[in-house]
Amino acid sequence: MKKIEINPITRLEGHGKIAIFLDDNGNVEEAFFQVVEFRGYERFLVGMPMEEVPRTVSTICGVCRGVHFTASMKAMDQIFGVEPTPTARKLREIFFNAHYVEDHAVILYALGLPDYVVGPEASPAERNIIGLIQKVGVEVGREVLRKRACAVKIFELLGGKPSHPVSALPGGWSKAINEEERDQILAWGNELVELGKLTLQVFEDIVLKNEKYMELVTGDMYKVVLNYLGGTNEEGILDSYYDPKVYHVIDTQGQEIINFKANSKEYLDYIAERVLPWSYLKMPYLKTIGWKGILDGSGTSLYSVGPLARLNVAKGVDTPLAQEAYEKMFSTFKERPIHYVQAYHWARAIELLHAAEKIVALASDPEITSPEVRRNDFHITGEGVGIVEAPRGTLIHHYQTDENAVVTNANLIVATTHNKGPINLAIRKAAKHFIREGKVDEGILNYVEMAFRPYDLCLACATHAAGPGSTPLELSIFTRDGKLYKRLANF
Amino acid sequence: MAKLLFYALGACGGCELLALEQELVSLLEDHEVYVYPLLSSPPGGSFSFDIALISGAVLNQEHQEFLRDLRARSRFLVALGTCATHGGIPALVNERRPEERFEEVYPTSFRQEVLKEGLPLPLPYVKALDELVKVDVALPGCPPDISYVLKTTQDLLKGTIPKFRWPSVCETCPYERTGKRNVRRLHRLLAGRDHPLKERCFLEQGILCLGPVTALTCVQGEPPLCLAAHMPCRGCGGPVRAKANPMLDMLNALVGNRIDWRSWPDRKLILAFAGAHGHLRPLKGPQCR
Repeated sequence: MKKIEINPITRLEGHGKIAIFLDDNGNVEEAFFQVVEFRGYERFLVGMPMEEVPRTVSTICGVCRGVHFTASMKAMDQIFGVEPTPTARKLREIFFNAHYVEDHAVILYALGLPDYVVGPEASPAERNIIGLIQKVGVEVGREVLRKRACAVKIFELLGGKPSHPVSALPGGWSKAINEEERDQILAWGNELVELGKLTLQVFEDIVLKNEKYMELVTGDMYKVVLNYLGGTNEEGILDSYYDPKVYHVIDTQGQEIINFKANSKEYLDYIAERVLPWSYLKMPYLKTIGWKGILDGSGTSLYSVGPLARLNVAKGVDTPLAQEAYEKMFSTFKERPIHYVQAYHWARAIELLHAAEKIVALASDPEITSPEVRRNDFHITGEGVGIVEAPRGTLIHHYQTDENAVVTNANLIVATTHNKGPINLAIRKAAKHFIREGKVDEGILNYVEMAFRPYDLCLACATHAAGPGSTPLELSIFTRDGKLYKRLANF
Repeated sequence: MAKLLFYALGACGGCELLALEQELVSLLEDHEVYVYPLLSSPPGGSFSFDIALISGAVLNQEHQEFLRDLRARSRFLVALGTCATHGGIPALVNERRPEERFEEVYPTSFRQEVLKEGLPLPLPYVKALDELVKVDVALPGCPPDISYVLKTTQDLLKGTIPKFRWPSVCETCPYERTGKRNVRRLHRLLAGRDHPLKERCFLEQGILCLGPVTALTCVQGEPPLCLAAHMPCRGCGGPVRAKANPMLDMLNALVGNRIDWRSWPDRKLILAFAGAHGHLRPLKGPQCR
């Protein structure tokens, strides 16, 4: 048996590698997606005053920094026994939606779309955001970066820093905004709606109108049949990423098989985690179905989260332009749920527009400039669960504290962890399709990598660990007795 | 055309996002810039770099080897961000012994399995870059203000090594210091009771603020970002005296203000961003804080 390693995976946030095992004929027998870093945030949060946690956990990831901040802030509200004031809640929502826009924009333009714009078989040196800018034109590229920066500015105005935000207080927000700041947010928000429209247009022009690419988008090599988990409001509509009310799991046919209350311990009744010896990342599955192995298809206990899962689960979204795009996506695929992983990018573009429309709606609310953004009527409950729909999917922060609200226990289940099984399946499928009779070149490897990019892995988050990788792309093929047979490297 | 590399070891990837800032995009156009692995893959063949901007702390064996390799391939090496210069948040684990960190999250047998499968094991101690290799420019900050990154790259492209001297966060703090030291204990930062704050120094109100011992790297000449958002400093800019132990400096500052430092429940927070260089060490008892 031969072993191929893709190490580490390029263009994802965090550190991972893929090991592919070939049989004697050079066909793929097995493929594993490994996470090789470990840090252990859950450990050093113990002993920390709860109100210090949001600022600390935001450093789990520098890209999706706002999501850990927000999930832990919601858990903090429960620990101090308070709901946020209406204005604080809306400021948090604007902040979170702004984060969505800039995060989804990075993912699409820097990590996902280069495969399509520059071409999946282009050399890695061109297949990146710089290549993308050259291809779509420097003017368009600059405009995208400029518009994305508007989202970062909203994030900074409300969160306090462009990187790791600081404004969280139990039941509140450290910073109220004035009329001038509201107008500024509105102006930026309108630009972001334009960015949303532009992004859907780019996706349509480059991917949907290209027959060869549509074969990839709707091809079996990137089809993984799974259950989906996502949150909505009580009516089943996706209206808030910050605070969904109900969580649903739909099965491979689209039937709802589980629903549970958001921001409560109920998730523990449905989700279990399995430790695997070959990765620092645990693999969750649906407890009610039981561990069935890393398999897709009807009856699987694996589920996926993220943009496509959310739209698969939700009956619709609550803003007009995004709803239109949502309907178009489902009518194009003519199936529901959509099981094609490349559709994650499409769903991401729709959500970018949705979040931008939400910013404009929330900033137009007369209450948004109220100074009532803080509370002080605390009673410490000792336990809190914050669940948000992060850009990459469902994020759960669960804390227990002592009577002084000092953390005694922390459990974090992040989006990439939920997606561990699906990612492994997607990689295995693509590897089997593209690697035949031991034939492996750079182009083929990228097709394999394209299987996980739509999930927008954040391995930094997933191991609560750290850090984009540490060696350039390397591929090792081993013979059955473990000897190095061939080594290809780009350095 | 110079070759530049942004590279993250054990970090959050936030420093690499600086490369998306419009000021730095012009660099991307004028030079060969790799932002790995977030945005682009490194070049093929045997490569070397004029400037390597490396963020993140050194967490495992692989990081250590790669850092040494990059040092050998680079004319100038910049430690970018507080994780690279002082350990940052990753070094908070230095408060625990490695086997202890590990076993609370994974079953005991896992460690053996990991060795067998060849996953890199964490180092016993999370390190800053200068504990392993020569660093030409240390640029703390979480992330540092873009102007410092620009100046560093521009100077290094000309072949000169920039020297920075940062003031403390207090230097541009918008809050009033009255000099009245009538608070004896630190109390917790909670809305309502202490918030909204009178526009007055956090420490004078008995709220832990690491401003006095922290370098003002988040902005240049403007009010510090957290203070402007009505929150106290937590030290992400790195220690104001690069080689000092901010824990000692902060305890001194508290004593100087006649505040009982034992009233603060979680002392490791004072070293939340500077736990490398042996500053944060394993505790003896599991419950000892």
